[in-house]
Order: sequence, then structure tokens, then C-alpha cells
Amino acid sequence: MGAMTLRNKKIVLAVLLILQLVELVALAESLVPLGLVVPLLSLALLAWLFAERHHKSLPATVDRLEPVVVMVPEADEPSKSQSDSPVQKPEIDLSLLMEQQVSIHLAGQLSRLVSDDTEKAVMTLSNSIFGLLQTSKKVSLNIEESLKTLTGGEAGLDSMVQHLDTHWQAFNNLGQNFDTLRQALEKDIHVLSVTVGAINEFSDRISDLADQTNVLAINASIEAARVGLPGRGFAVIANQVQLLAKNSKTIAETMAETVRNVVSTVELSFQRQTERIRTSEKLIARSEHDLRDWSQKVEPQVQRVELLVNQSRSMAELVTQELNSVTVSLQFQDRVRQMLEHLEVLTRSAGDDLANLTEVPLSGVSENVRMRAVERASKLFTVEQEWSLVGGRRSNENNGPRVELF
Amino acid sequence: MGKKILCIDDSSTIRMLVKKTLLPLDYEVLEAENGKQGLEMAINNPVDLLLVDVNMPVMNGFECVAAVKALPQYAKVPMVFLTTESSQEKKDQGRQLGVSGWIIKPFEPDGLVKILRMLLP
Ligand SMILES: [Mg+2]
Repeated sequence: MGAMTLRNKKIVLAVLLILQLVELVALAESLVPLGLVVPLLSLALLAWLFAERHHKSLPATVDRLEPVVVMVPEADEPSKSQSDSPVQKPEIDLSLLMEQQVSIHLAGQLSRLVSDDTEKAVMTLSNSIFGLLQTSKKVSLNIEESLKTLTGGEAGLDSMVQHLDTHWQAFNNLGQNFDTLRQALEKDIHVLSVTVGAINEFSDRISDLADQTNVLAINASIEAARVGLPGRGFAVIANQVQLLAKNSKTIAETMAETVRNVVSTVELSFQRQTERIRTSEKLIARSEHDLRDWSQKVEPQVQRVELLVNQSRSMAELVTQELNSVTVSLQFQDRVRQMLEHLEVLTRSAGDDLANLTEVPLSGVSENVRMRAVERASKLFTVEQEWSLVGGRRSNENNGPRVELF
Repeated sequence: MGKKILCIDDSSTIRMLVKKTLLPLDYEVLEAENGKQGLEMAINNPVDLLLVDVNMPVMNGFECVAAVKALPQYAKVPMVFLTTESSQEKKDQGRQLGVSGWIIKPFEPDGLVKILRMLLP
């Protein structure tokens, strides 16, 4: 092939740029795959086919890529006159070039399709992910709130444990008070029985004294009778003394009897009080035991609730961390979309250049040539949406249910 | 009341991600899709901080920041670049413009929030 015209060089350059961009997109895609690799490969192949057919000396051009980038804008005007030169034109197979025009147009459309799909996917994904994050935060807050209500406040588990402890302490004190009371009562009963013993002893001695006085009075009246008339006065006194002794004994015995009655009544009453105190002490001891039991049972529950609150909080933090990496992935996707947009612009300008070269606009390409390009492209197609670009040979719409059992 | 952030980026995805990150934290986010639009918005709506992309059509981030910084009401307003650019040369260029920070894309929401909280206590 003879020396390339500047216009041809410009097209080769455009194709090279497209190829490099495709490579870059594929690389970015491999970092964050979202199922876009296949269409991108199709795109790369289309571009490659175009380049391969057009210039077999492509690798040699790669080394000169940078100088060309600088040179092209300056040489834009003169290139027109060169491409118009009658020496170059006959070498070009025009129908092949027009086929490439269609191919490159398809490649651009494919880029647009992918970048639109990527943008939509990123938007939908972001909405869902951030929605999920909000929900997760709300759920975690609700859990925390509920558990706080359960543990905190007037009727919460925390104050319940405190109340139980206070009550248990009060019952413990009450038990000790009753114990002191019972001991005091028992001491009183002892003092009473000692006193009653002393009183009994006194009345016994009074009774003995009365008996001895009575014997003395009897003897005195006998002696008075023996003396006769002069002892009569003395006999009267002896009778009086005997009467006094009898009375004393009766009083002593009545007193002893009364004391015995009173003491037995008081003792019975003391015994009943002691019995009641013992029963109360037993009840208090049982309540105290129950309270302590409850308090011990509630405490681990409170600790478990605290654990749950912490767990729920750390789960929410985990979701936030996950969101960080998802957000980063979404930005990688956005990079892919931007590069695809640039790819579309480049293919469009390459298409325009081709149209200038062939001097036939895309709409003027014959149906025959168009069909050849479409056929070649659709051999690569693997995704339903790709066919929609070339006239929708296959359609996904209204084809019945998406999942079907036969 | 929530602080006002102006996010200037040509990528609608980036603007949306910034918005979604900051809205739940009670920040108000205004959006502009290039430097020129950002400059006009900054003039018409006083904001507390600018988050600016570098590579944008119409007017790039450097030109935009220089223009906003020249406005007397924005002399002390913090500005941060949020960009894919990571070279020291570009960073130095940003520093010379007097911006407060430089975040390289892709950004992590936590990192962005941390910087904003530091600059807008
Ligand atoms: Mg940008």
C-alpha cells in the first residue's frame, strides 16, 4: 500500500484511540464486573475488524501515535487537498469503507446503549443501596430504643432490679427487728417466771407463819383456860390471834392463787406472741429469699439486653462500612460509563471522517452494504438488546412470563 | 439548621452519591454540572462549602474555584476538590488556589463526611 494520506492517518488514529479506550473500559469493567463485558468485547471486535481491514500496517502506526496526535489538528486543512488527489482515491474499496461506516456507527450505538444501561443500573442500585442503609439504620435505632425502654425508665428492668434490691434489704432489716423483739419477749417471760417464783415463796412463808401463829394461839388459849378466871382476858386475845392467823393464811393462799392465774394468762399470751413472731419471721425470710432470687434472675436479662443493644449498633456500623465499598464500586461503574460516552463521541467522529472519505452520508449507504455490515455485527451479538440496534431481530418484550415451568 | 454544600461535578452519578451520602446527615446539597453553572449558583445561593470536580466541560474546576475565591463573600469559605486527578502537580495547583482539601475519586462516604465535619464543625 502506498503512503497514507493525512485523512487516512486521522482515521487510523481515531480507531487506535477507540481500541485503547475499549481496552481501558474492559480493564475498569474487570475491576467491577456488572455483566457488560460481552457487549464491550463485541464493540472491541467491531473496531478491530474495521482497523484490520482498513490498514494492515497498523502496529507500525502505534509507535507514531503521539506525534500524529500533535500533527493532525495543524494538518487538518492541507489534508483535504491531499485526500482529494486523484492518485489516492482509486486504491480505496468504497463499498468496504461504507460497510465500515455502518459498522462504526453500530459500535457507537452499542457504546451509547451500554453507557445508558450502566447509568440506569448505577442510579437504581444507588437508590436501593441507600434505601437499604436508611432502613437498616432505622431498624437498628428502633431496636436500640425498644431495648432502652425495656431496661431504662421508671418501669424498666434496671430500676426493677434496684427496687428488688431495696425491698430485699428492707425485708432483711424487718427480719432482724422481729428477731430482736422475740428475744426481748423471751427475756421478759423469764423475768416474769423468776418474779412469780419469788412471790410464791413469800406466800408459802406467810402461810407457814400463819400456821405457827395459829398453833401459838391454840396453846395460849389452853394455858388461859387452865389459869381460870384471871386468864379469861388472855383467852380472848388468843382467840383473836388465832382468827388473825387464819385470815392471814387465807389471804396468802388467795394471793398465791391470783398470781398463779395472772401468770398463766400472761405466759399463754407471751407464748402466742412468740409463736406469731416466729411465723412472721418465717414469712419474712421466705419473701427475702424470693426477692433475692428474682433480683438474681433479672440481672442477667439486663446484661443480655445491653449486649443486644451493642450488637445492633455494631451491625448498623457494618452496613455503613459495606456502603462505603458499594459507593466506591458505583464510582468505578460511573468511570466505565464516562469512558463509553467518550467512545461514542470518538466513533461518531470516525464515522464522520469515513463519510467524508467516501463522500456518502450514512443514510446514503446502499441497503446491500448496510446488510453486510449488520450481518457481520450480529454474528457477534449475544445479548438481546444488541439486536434492537440493527432492527430488532429478536425482541424481549411481551414474550410471556419471564419464568416458566414446562 | 443544615449546612449548605455546593457539589460541582459533570457526572450526575457522583452528584447523586454525594447527595445520598450527605442528606441523611442534615446537610443541604446543591448541584451544578460544570464550573460555570457552579459559579452562578455560588453567587445566587450563599453556601458553606464547595465540593468541586477538576475535569469538567465548559469551565473546569480550577477556573471555577479561582473565580469563586475572587468573590469577597467566599474568601473564607472552604473548598475541596473531588477528582480522579491524583498527581502531585495537580494537587499543588489546587493548593495554590487556596482550597482546603483534595479527595481522590472514588471517594468513600465515611472519608467525605469526616473531612466535611472537620471543615464545618
Ligand atoms: Mg469530571
